[in-house]
Amino acid sequence: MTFTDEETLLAANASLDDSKADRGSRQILTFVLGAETYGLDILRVQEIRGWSTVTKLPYAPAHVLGVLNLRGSIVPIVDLRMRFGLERAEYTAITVIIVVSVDSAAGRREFGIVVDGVSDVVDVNPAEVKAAPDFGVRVATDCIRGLVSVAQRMVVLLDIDRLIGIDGSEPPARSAQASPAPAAA
Amino acid sequence: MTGVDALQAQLAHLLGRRLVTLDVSRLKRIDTAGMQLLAAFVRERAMHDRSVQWRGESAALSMAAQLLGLSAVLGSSKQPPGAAARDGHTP
Amino acid sequence: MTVDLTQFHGAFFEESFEAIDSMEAALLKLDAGAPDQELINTIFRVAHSIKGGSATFGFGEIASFTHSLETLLDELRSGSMQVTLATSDLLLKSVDVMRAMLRCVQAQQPIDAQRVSDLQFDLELMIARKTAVAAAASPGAAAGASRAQAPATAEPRASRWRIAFRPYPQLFARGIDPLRMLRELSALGALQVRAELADVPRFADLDPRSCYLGWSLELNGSVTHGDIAQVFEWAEGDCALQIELLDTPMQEPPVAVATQPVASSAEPAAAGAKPTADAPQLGAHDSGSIRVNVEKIDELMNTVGELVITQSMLSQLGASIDGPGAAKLRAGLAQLERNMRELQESVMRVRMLPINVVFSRFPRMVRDLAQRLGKQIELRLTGEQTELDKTVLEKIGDPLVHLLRNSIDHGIELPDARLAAGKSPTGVVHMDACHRGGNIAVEVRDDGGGLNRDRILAKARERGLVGPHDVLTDEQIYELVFMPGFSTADQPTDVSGRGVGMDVVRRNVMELGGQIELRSEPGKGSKCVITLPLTLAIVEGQSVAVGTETYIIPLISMVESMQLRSTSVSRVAGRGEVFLFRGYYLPIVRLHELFGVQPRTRDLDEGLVVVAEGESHQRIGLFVDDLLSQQQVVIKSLEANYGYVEGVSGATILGDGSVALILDIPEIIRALSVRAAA
Repeated sequence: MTFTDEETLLAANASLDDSKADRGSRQILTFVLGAETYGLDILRVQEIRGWSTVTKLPYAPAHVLGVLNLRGSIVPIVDLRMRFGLERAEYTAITVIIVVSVDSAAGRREFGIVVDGVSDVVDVNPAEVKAAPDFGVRVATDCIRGLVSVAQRMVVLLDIDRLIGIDGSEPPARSAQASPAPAAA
Repeated sequence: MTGVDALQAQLAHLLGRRLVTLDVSRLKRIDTAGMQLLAAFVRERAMHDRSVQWRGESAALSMAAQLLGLSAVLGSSKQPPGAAARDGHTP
Repeated sequence: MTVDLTQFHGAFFEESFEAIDSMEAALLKLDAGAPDQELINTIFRVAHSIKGGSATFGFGEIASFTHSLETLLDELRSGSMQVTLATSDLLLKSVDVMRAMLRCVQAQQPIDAQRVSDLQFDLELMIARKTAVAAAASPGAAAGASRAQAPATAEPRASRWRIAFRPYPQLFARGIDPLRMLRELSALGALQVRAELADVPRFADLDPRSCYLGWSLELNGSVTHGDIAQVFEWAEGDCALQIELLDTPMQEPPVAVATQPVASSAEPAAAGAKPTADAPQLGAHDSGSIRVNVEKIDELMNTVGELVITQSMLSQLGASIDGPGAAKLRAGLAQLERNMRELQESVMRVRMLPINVVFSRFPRMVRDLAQRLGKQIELRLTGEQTELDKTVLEKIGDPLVHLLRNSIDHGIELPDARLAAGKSPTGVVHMDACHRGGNIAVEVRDDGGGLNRDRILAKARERGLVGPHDVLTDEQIYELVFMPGFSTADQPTDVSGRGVGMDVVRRNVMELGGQIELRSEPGKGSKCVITLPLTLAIVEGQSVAVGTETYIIPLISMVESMQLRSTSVSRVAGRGEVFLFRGYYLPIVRLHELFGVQPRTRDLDEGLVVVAEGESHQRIGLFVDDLLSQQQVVIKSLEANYGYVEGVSGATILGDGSVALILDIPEIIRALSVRAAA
């Protein structure tokens, strides 16, 4: 089942009741990138929307495509394929942006990540999560929380804070610069 | 109100141009009818996503714009404060 | 019945702090030579109220101390003790102690008992030593202003009028020019004008001999209905005119007790007013004002900002709709736009406060500083009622403090030096605020020695900022003062002179989107003018197109735009393309190169060049594809979710919902010179 419709996704959320939380299981939103399936903590997902044209940001790393207006906030959009070093894909009508809320040194921030498509929301029991091996997985290992098997599929659980926060998705803050000497008029 | 028809004709001519700069440095007197025309002109340009640039300073224009509450509509008929002093960079 | 009083603590503290502020202000205005009875009454009332309130809440130490204070003030009030410089000093110290006590109690920390009892002892000593004075203090309005004090702010009773002036189309033909009338009105008082353009038809349909304009005016002044009606006499029958009286203008932020001597006060001078009811109320607020939590107002501003964006999106959509009802829809949307603009203005005004909020702490500061440095300083404050947005107000305080300190520390000379120079021994520092265009201008002027050109040059040479043989114009020398770490003080006083000042002041001002200008005349004095936008959240900008991207250039940075002929562009080794503008060669900055976007054209002949200006009159020419409209845009933060981008100060959302980046011109220029220097 593939959810590309925001409303359906929210409805699915509503049907999962809170009692599951007691058992310590987490709800994970799974999505597809290329041949692999990845997962994100559903609590971090703000919304899911389709692709729209982005305003470019100067001096940004290649995987930061630009910014979008999301309900009045300026939100940066990251192409995960580029971030993971996968081949680029075309953005089509079914390309999806997952808007996530990320914890950073500066507090909570919102980001949008571009993925091929969104799949189910699944329950994951933390006990079943296995550590990722050092090889065989494309993504840098410090972004991975672990691997878990769901319906005979391997899902790579991502640590969204580390994914977005590290290596240049976040440009440095404004640094104090010395003013140059008075130029000759 | 003299000359207001001529002004309208002149401005009408400029409506379609991509870039319009009005040099007001020699404008010594203007009345409400003239201001109304200018305001309508600037507004018409804005409706077509075009702007009007102003060159030079006219005390009469600035004063009239301020008194008639048309400064905002006309846009930067005033240059940033102290701009006059900056021209030529004389100390 | 036991009532939990802690719920009232917040109000008590807030009101007490305000009351103490007003007490301090009154004390500073008090002239020892000719004390104003009204001021003394005010001070007494404050002390009495705080005593009562603190007793009710069980804050014993405060109550006890204030009781001693009240006793002293009672003596002063009844005239059995004279107001001297010594008493003023003592009272000011008491103000400090009371503040400190309130803060401690509020933070539930122990009070400095020693300090309190020391001062209390002094108070009681003074009471015991009171000398019988022959005459009571003179009643009625205050005598002239004295040293280190702000001038009395009493004004004749002003009225506020709203005037709706809607000429009929034939007004022009009758030979009547509204400009004349508005000019007359503006001579009667402070006039605010809003033009109504709703009835002005499209340019092609406009009959230039008919009047389509209307005006909504607000006039503040000692004016009668008749005065106003007389101005419009000639237009009778050719216009619709409405004149209505609004309430008297709002006082300053509500204080517990009025501090201005009201000319028509009916209170008998000797007795003074009876203090108001006991705690927890410290005195009635001004009727017609309420306290509002700042967060609520911020929320309101945000919501209105979103409304503006939504409305502008709707307008855009409306423009492209056809069919039956489209005209009505567009008319409705136009009306909506008008309403929105009014709403936005109203809300922005809610956040405006008079600059007096910042000015009010200066008299005390000047007095203390002057005393410490052994100088005689008179501080003049004008334009204190000039209003600006709260956010700008909060950030303007520190720069102004620094400028003031500079004037006092470095500007004004010691009394002997002044006398030797043929000046009066008392130096004057004048701080003025006024609205200029769409901005607020704050000026700090002193009649001290001015900037010492030679000293500055010498210091700069010492620091290696300037070569030993370089010749600099006056302007360039003043520019040096803004360098980080610069100070010509031989020994930094602990007040200023550590040299961390002017560069920070300028940066703060520029971050607020404003400008700062320094002028000086050796021997005569210096003047520093800070210009700031009225509000931070909105900027007037010119939108430009580069390829498919839209950028906004703040109007405050814009000089002119022009079409360039590639033949008038030269290449200079190491500096790229330059062109001649008003006698100077300016570098061309190709925005498409700077930001790495695909432009419509790279051909200088096909695009446009916008001349923009940054700090200290440095100018560049920005090469863009096209000029779009000028508009007011709501500034959205890029840093909230992303971070800092060089050359970009923020973003905004356009009418079609897309994002446009707002350019930071001073930053772009700075980066350019850094790169060129490299």
